[in-house]
Amino acid sequence: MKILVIEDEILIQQSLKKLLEKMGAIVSTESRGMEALSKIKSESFDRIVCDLMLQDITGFDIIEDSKSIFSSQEISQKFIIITAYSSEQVLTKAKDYGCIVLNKPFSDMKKALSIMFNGKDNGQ
Amino acid sequence: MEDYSNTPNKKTQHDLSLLSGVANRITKSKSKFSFQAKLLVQLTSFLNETESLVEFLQKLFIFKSLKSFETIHLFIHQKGLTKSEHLEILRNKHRIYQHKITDFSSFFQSIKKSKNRSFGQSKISGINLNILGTFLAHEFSLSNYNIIIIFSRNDFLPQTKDEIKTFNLVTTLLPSFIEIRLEQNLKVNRTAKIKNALELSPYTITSGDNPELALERKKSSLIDHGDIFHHERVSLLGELLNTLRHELSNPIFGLELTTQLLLLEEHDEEQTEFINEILKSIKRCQSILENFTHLYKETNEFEVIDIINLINEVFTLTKSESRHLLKSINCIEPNLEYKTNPTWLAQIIFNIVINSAQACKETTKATLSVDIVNKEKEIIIQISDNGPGIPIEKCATVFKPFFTTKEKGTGLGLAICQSLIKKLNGEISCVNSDKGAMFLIKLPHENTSH
Repeated sequence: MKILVIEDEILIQQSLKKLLEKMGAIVSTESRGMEALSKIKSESFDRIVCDLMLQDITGFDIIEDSKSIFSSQEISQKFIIITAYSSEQVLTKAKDYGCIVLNKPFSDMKKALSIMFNGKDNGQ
Repeated sequence: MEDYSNTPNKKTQHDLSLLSGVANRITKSKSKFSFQAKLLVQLTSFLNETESLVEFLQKLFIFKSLKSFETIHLFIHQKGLTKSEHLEILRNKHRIYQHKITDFSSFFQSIKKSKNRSFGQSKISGINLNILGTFLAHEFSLSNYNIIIIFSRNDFLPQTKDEIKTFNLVTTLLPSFIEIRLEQNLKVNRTAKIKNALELSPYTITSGDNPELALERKKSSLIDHGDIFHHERVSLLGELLNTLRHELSNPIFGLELTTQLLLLEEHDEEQTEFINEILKSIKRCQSILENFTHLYKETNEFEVIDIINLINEVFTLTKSESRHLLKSINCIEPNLEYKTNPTWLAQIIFNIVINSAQACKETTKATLSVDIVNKEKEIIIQISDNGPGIPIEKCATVFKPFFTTKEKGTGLGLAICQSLIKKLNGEISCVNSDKGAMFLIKLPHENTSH
């Protein structure tokens, strides 16, 4: 299980890395959207956990750009959006992509980690 | 609508559309957000530093990317009047003109219809602006006013991307600030008249018959402008708090995650205890931030809330002031849901609880109880205490502005409550009771936002 965590809050990024590694995943991290995009295009990840508000571009920009290499089904399975500002607009947009949205702070940490690890098939 | 200018039209159009694309992208990202927040703080401090609308707008010339502008024109049409006011503002002086409402309206409409923010004099009929070249214009409607704002450089050079960007940003934030100033002006004019009348009066004017309760207004300075603006500040504060909440919740979540991670490692007992304490503090911060979310939502939004939860949140916020009050909520239904504007309702209850807490300072075993009854047509919230109470003849006057029984009161708290409850289509009344003070709030079930 290869997971990419895109999150610019370093404490969140590193903690998620450690927690997912404890579950047995191989975890890469990125703080900036553009770097994350080139990583997505050069490596293959089973899961991409992506914050919406990044310094350079938004998480939706990353998903939109990934359309060039992933099918829409792959997008809905690979991407998990984590956000502290889940407005109705955000939820509708995420729904269009078919992605799971997790609100920060996670109300149930174990469940959130399990969704990140297992994706849609399990944990929901 | 086309530009009147010496600039190649297509290029400007292209630049503008590029810009709006970029602006849209940045809108979603943090960098823009914190820039907006900075701008908001800056505008707030301008508001605090200045007295009049003109002074406030003159401050805008300080912004780096607006430095090259020479004039700001502000057209104000107070709805219902047949004339509009026109302020021409330069760095160190200003002029006032008046225009016919028909001229104002056609100008307003032409700006509204235009996608482009850039204009030339040839496009306006009826109003002479004395402006050379093109200018940036933006129009907006406030509850009592229609406004047009224009930035002009008075030369034939085209506006730079930066200038347009800053103009767009500033004008998206400006409406609420201009509204505050205009409403303040109205109030200042009104209170100045009242103050004048009271000071000219040969009598010492008291606000009631009972000398113990009524304050002699002549002794204390009647109007403290700071107090009058308190309500506006509270709503501005709400906006700032919202920004703060957004900026704080992410780093605090980072702390929570890291601390939880730390707990998973081996520690001795003392260390584990410390880490648990840290975690508890983090959770407390999160729940405080969470509470603000409910209390300071964007205004005008009606949503379904749990009334009992809302009152409990208000109790939490008044905790330090009302420590001596034993508070209770009585309601048969455990989850009473109601569609309302939670910010306003919370503000109303907050005011009553604070009043009660202050009135009951000397009361032994002071209690405050909130009884909620859900009727067919309305929800009735009865808030009562066992303090000194309000005499029957004062029950109607307590809602009047500037009525107070407190040494340092502004007399505005309940007046604000009444204006807020009207916005909620409800009613508030003060009821005479032998046991203490009692307030009744009625909230209709068929609630349509006004």
